[in-house]
Amino acid sequence: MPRSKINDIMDRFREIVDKPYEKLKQWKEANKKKIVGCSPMHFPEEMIHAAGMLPVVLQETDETITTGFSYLYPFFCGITRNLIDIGVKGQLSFLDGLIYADICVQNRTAASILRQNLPAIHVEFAQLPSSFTRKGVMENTVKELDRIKASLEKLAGRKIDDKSLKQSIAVYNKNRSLLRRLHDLHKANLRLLPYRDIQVIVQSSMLMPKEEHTELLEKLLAEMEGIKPPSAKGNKLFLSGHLCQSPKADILDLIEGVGGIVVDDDLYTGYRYYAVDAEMNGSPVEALAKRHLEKSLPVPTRTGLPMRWEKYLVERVKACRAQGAVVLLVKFCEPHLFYYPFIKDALAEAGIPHIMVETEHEVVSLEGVRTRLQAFIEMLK
Amino acid sequence: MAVGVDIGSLTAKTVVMDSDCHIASYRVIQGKIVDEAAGIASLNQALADAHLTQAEIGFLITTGYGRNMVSFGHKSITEISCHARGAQFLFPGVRTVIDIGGQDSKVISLNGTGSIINFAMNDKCAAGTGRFLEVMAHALEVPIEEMGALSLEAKSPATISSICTVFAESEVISLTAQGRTKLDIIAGIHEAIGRRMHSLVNHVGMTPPVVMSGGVAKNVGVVHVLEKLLETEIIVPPEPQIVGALGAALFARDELKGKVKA
Repeated sequence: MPRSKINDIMDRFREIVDKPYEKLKQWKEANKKKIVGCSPMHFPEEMIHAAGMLPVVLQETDETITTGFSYLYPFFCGITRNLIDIGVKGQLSFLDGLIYADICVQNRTAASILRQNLPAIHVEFAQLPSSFTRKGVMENTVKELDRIKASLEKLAGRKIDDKSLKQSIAVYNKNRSLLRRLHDLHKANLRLLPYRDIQVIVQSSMLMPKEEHTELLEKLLAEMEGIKPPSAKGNKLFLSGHLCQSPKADILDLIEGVGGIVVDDDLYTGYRYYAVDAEMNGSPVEALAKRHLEKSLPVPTRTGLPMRWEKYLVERVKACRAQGAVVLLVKFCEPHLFYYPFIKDALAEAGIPHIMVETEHEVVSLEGVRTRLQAFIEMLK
Repeated sequence: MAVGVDIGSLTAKTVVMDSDCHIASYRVIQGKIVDEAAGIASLNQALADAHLTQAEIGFLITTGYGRNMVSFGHKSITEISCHARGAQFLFPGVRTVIDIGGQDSKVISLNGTGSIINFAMNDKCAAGTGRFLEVMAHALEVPIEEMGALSLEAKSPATISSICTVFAESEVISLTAQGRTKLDIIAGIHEAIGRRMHSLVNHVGMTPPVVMSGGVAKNVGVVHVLEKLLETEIIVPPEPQIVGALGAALFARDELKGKVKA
């Protein structure tokens, strides 16, 4: 029965996504290995992997913010406030290391607060360049990655040589290529999995040991490639935004519930995470720097990229023949907010209807969002 | 018969339409909490007015925030599409619809052929809603239906700075304590709603002619403030509350004629 096999594998993925920090704590006790948390978006996890530790990308949980309120203003974004809150409550204390990479002011603040309040954790802040056109940007990126590498070596108590780093890059490239296969499979069979499940698969890849995830994903793809789901009826949509956290499943269900079908995305917990690989030839640190500088998808936290985000977005929406775009904007996400006017204008100019949905950590009434999304779908008809 | 039922937060409305697009009957039911029963009551009363029974309903479309909560109805369509359709039917060529209902407000932009091209909805803040006016009327001990006319007599409208119903209520109480007249306070409340709606209109952009629907359109004071702020004439239908139900009835009629639009 292929469906039940698919469900079994999906349950494995869901297990860790539903309670990431509890499960990781259990994993650590069972495996006696160090775990290093990474802030989302830019830091190459391969480096932590090569040091024999488990890299995990920090995920927002649904927990109500309580203690964290006294550490941070309420106008910080959801994931920042949530991580501070669960951090000061002790839920991240199982981590051995924490690496924040420079993505925004809120993220920087979070790194400082966690460093002060969790003294037992080795906290690093990777100052990866924001402007890609500056002179010497490649040298500076390599220099910074080398500095972090040395810091990780100290934490791991072992050297990260080129050979092991290359092996780790290969492990990550393999997983990324499988996620791209899933992406292609979804585009070919839009009703294969609800979009919330695709998010779960990508999120679990950020939390599980990569080798284990790859093995499960290979099995899942093998099962799914034989299935012919019913043809998809509905209005095709492109999902854009959510630069460093997964949209809540409720929102994804709402989009599909009112007749939308998500064909493609540029979400962090989506195409952005697995779109490009690091090169296998030459120096591995340089390969990671190159992946960051030259292969990065357009993003508002970096300048001097080969293509601006709004132009890239229009091209992607057109390529997947979506009838419209849903821009999911995390409340108080400054980089996205600053960029949204350009996106709005570019989509309008290209004749692509879009709707912006502001999402929040705190559970708000979804009825208003449902009405707006349903009206948007009615508008597309 | 084509029927549209609009279940809002404070009222339930039904429009019964015949095959020639004539409104056979309509009903507006006011309730403290509007639920399925209120929807059914408005439906049954409207059917009785037209001497019809439920068996004679050809197609029924529900709209409004309660559109998915009810067991009757063949289909549901959002109030955004329905208000646009209803306004377009009453005033062909309308380009902007401002709807202020009980618990939210919307601005809908239409193109020259009556299709929706953009919309904005205020569903987080109570200012700019009928509920806001209800709370204020209660605080001032003034019947809500008299607020509009009273505000036009104000000499110097008070400034209500807060956009939160709860805080605005305390602001109104302190203004009363300071000796400001009810007329000035009411005018200030209307201006607060007007400012809120002005920013929502700016979200989608305004092209005249502008039609206003929803219960708050019955308040001449709010309409007057909006006309001043938007620097345009606002057309108010004789029964602004039934525009959504009318749109739903028109969509139901499309279904009966086999041309489905939404």
